[in-house]
Amino acid sequence: MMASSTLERPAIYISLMQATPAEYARWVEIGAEEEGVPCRLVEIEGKDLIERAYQAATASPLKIGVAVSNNAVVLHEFHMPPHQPVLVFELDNNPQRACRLMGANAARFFVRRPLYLTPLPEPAHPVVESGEKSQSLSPAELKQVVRLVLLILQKLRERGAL
Amino acid sequence: MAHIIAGVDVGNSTTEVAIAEIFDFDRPPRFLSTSRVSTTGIKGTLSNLPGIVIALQEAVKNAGIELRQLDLVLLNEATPVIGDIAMETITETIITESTMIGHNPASPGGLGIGVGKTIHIKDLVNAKRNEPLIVVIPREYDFELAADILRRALEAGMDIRGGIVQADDGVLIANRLPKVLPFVDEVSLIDHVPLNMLAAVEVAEQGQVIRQLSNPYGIATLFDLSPQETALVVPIAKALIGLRSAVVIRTPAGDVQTRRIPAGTLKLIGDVRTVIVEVDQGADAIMKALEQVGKLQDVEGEAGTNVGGMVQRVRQTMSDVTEKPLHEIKIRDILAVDCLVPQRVSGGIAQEFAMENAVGLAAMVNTDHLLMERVANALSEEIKVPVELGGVEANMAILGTLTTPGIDAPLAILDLGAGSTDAALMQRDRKVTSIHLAGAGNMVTLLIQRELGLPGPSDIDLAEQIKRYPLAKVESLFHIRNEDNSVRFFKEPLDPRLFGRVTLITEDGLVPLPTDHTIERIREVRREAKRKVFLRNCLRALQAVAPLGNIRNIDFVAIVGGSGLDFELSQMLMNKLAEFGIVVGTANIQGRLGPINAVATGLVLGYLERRREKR
Repeated sequence: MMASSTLERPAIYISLMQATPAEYARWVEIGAEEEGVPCRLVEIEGKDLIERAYQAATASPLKIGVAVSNNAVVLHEFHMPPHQPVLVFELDNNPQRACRLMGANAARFFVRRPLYLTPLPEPAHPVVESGEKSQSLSPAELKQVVRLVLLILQKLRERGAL
Repeated sequence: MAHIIAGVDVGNSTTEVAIAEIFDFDRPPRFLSTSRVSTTGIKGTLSNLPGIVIALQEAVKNAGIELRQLDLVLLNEATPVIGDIAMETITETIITESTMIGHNPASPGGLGIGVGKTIHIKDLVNAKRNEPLIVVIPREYDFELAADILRRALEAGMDIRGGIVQADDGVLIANRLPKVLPFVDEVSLIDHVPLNMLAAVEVAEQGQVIRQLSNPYGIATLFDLSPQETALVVPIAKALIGLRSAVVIRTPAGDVQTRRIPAGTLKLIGDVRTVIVEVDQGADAIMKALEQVGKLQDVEGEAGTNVGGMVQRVRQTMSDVTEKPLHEIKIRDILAVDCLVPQRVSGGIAQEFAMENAVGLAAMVNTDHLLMERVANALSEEIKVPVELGGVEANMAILGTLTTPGIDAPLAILDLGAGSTDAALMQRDRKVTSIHLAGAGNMVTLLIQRELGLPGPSDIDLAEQIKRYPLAKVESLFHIRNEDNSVRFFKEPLDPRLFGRVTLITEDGLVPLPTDHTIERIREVRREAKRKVFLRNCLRALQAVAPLGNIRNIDFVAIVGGSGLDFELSQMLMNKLAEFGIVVGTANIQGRLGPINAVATGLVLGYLERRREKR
């Protein structure tokens, strides 16, 4: 319920949907603990997962809430539009990892560190680097490349090579 | 009858065009359009053609005419100089045995410093009771399991002093133990940690950095080292400065050394004298030597050393570009810059970096006019319009700059380009004096890339962006804090990908930087790079063109060129030059283009002037 006591220790609030294993919430707590921010499981009303996450955020003294179901885990923040959560992870085949990372995200949201954007294991660093290279052209550069290619084609055509 | 002519300025970074309609030679021309595209290939080579054609096509389109309606194209008689840049570290740290782990995991566990023998967690049951231990915990041991084993071992009287953890579990393990112990986590190559060796683990309090392991005498105290041995750990301590957690492991054979690569000497051959200067004395020593030699005729690097290789590479590039034999390439100016670059420590366990000294060198060689003539001929053939070379670049830049409202001679201009810093001085009834110096925008980009340790050649683009745009930190999904500490709010929530990140404020919105550097550090590196290259070169250049060689004899300076668009550079220059009583302003070519297109505009005006004189 609402945090009525002002003496209560500030915490991120976690809401667990009906028929969801209790350990899912514990994984969220562990994720936040590693980042050093306290978390608490609370009873929250709400018709769906996103609404629950929003209600948890509204009730939380830190204004950050997480809601978990069997399928997904949602991070919400009090200032966001209620229907637009900060992040949603599908649980898929690794609910433990998704829940821990979302717990870490909730804590990171409070300490203002960059978030984990996906529950998938991060690829090794060299892969990330090579992946970004192909997209490093700005739209203007891209336009210029396209024009260059067209120019070359035009020249080739003029010379009868095409 | 009206003529339509185009001025084309091929620069190191951009190709600019100005198209104008000329009615008669006594009336000022009517400028129809301009364009600015990236230069293709290295300035002064035939590979510039595609870029020139694109620039011309864009400009004629803007003017609402066809390419064939042009009566004449004027090409800049490109500054007969080309620049190149290179950078070499002059120190290097090598670990011959794995003896340290120094990294900044987001959340190390516990607190304090512990010294003991490294032991695998599975061997803990067999360990001796009163021996201090550092436990090595691989990923297979879940934090609850690991904490459970450690707790029972502690209760059984084992002397556990700290731990090294592979997973991101340091805090979780530390929180579940009856006493506060330091745990370094996220050590990916945990099987490289030697077992049964004396090790020290240090974790600093949040917001602080380790003290003991980043201090050579601290390490000596922990490991009881002799003065000779202490000298050997200096590089370790240096590599651990500024971290929140670290491990140092003493292996009998292991030592980390700073190997000094012979940096070598530079021989500066001038028309007054020749000076040999040691590169590891730093950039200031090199630049001071440069002042003594008079006009630089050539530069040689000591063979078999880093700087020898560097000079050789510059010469080779220039020789390839100009198609001149190697021995005919003469280096006519250099700019040396000191920097500190992060270098991976070879042999480290957790991809440690150490800050190493490096010297960046920009060099410039003279080319000849034949090159640009070749480009002009090829261009004429390509677009079927007559092409002429239109006068010395510096003079054209001055003519173009004079289209700025409120400007008049005597006047000095600073052309801050990508490849060179140029200055020209125009006094009434005197010849324009000009100079071209090595080192400009590209050098700044290189410094940013190397000092921030942005790996890979593609990250030169990233460095270029950092050079160009101001920074902001995304503090919540609704507000950012600019680098000057002001705050900007947004109506709609920002992308969560931006959250907590340092971003660039670009025309296309916020672009997150994929680095862990703080906003303060990036800003400092960026501004320092601009200071080291542009401020230094502007002073050198103005000094060279100033009447009687005294910079105070210059009253007005106008900034032109692409770097004149820089959001902070002109202010930095104004502040600096105000010390010499110089008024500095950014040019506004044709009263509307800002600092760009000076040469292209000047080419058109120069053509008119020449025609007038002919009559």
